[in-house]
Amino acid sequence: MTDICSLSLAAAATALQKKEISAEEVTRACLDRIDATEPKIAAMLCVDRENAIARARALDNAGPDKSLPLFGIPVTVKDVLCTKGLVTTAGSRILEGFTPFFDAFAVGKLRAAGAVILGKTNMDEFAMGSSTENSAFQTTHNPWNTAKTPGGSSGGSAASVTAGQCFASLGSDTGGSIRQPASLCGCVGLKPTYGRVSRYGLIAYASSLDQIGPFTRTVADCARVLGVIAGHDPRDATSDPRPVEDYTAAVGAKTLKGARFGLPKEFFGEGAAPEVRAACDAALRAAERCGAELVKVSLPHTGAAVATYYIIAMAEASSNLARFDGVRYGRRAANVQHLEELYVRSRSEGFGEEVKRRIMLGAYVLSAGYYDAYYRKAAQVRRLIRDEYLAALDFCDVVCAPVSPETAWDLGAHSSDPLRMYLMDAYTLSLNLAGLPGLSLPVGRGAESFMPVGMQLIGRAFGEADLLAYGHAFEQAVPRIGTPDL
Amino acid sequence: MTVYAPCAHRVLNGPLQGPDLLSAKQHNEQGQAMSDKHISREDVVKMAALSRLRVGEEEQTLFSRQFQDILGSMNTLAGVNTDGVPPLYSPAAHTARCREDTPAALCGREEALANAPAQNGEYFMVPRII
Repeated sequence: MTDICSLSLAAAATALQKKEISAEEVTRACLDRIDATEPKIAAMLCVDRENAIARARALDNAGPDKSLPLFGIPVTVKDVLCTKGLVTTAGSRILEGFTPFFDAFAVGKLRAAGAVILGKTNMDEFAMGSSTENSAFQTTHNPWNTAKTPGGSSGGSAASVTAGQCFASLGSDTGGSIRQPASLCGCVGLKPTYGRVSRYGLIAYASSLDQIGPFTRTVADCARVLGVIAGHDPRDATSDPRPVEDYTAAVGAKTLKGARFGLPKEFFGEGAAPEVRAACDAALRAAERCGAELVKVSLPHTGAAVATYYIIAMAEASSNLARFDGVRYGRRAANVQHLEELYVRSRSEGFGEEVKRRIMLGAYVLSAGYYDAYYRKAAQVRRLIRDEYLAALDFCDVVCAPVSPETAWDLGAHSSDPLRMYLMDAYTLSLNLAGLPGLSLPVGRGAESFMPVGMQLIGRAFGEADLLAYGHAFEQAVPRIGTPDL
Repeated sequence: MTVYAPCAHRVLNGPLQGPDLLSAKQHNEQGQAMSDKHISREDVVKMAALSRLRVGEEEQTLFSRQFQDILGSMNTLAGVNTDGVPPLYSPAAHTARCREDTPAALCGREEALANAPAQNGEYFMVPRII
């Protein structure tokens, strides 16, 4: 990694504010890094080179501004977030060439904070997947081993941050799509509380589960980006009105001494690969040596979470993706004779296999005769899962769990078996059902695969300040995993 | 730290119809069967029609097998006692907040039409329907 690109976001921001480096220098360093690494990792769907340099020059001309926490900081954005004037596809052929005329709320916040948007990152089509192999355009490779998946669905964002192409990236997490790729690539990823970040301008997959959050290389950097993108937005009815805390100040405000880490027995068993369990155990022992108290908690309905999640997510997807009809935007089939044919052929030609699978299953579980047995039942189990989390968090400060049952697997290993791929999300998706925040951070590398292992810290609703404070303390307690040699 | 048997993940390292996935013949408290029936290619075609999708013969065969597996795995919920549990459709406590009904200029016609596959400068164009 070149010198500039190996800095933390906080260090780069300080250097930019002091004019030790210019925004154009930093932006060009990242663009050079993209040129050098893209042939190996293919994290980016588009690079907005000229606009990024122009933006950096404009920032340099205006001069540093302490009120802009991301002044001159190059970032990337998952292609599921609308970017004004910049093609946004959600990784789907059906949106090929779609150019939004507005920014997503979170993207607008990045720009207002002084960030330079370098481009859009690859993803599973409509965020449906766990390996980024469902992108209609390209497969992203893990920076640590390019034969392996970066995870998904925000695999491009995780790979981009890990490879030093940018200092932060925005992703979305519906069932683990921030935390799992962060874990598999060895960077930090945060799924905020549902409602903490407005979903305005996020192309919806499952609206009661989707949440936008940052990828960074340190917890402190994650806190800074969350502070920028969080906040109330009347354009999202589920956006929460409570004030945004000072997350940057929270980092460093807590130590592990006396912290109660809750370990759900359902997450620490034979289901996780031995190397994942070993790395997590070592990290927890390190936390214990720093004074953390490890307490057992139980989340008894964890076994039902995968089914609950997929019923709800598919049902919501079948509704949300009805908007792609070939009329107002996106792909339209050629030579259609009537309206019904326009809808059917445009959708059939535009959607990939996994998206079709989820839409059809969603339509099934919502259909007459099955609604109560599937959708309503899943919504009831969702409440049980949520209530168990709330009860567990009464006994501890954070719940700790592995993020993924395996380290990054070989590309293609699970791609022909959708159910097996769904099960890879088993440690992450219950959090989305509960709406709680989860921070994934690297705690080691697998003894067999040498690939990164991540743990997630799960906190109380709108408890991001505490979560980041504990995450930072935990990060200091475990050895750094280093950077990939690309 | 005590190591416990996994719950969600027994299925990962074993057969997909693992011990956590209950019998496909179980029913929920309403007495409705979850998908204990075979998902045929005809069922797949019906599901596609509901979704305004068309799937080819090869996909019909593939999806019927995959849907059988996926819906079968969802039957794990039939064994969960949810008597008296109200459904939770959203984790947000305030989804029905009202606001003033005031007009706002969100976008102009040109912007709204800019991404349309077919338009005439005023309207989205679709095949003739009457």
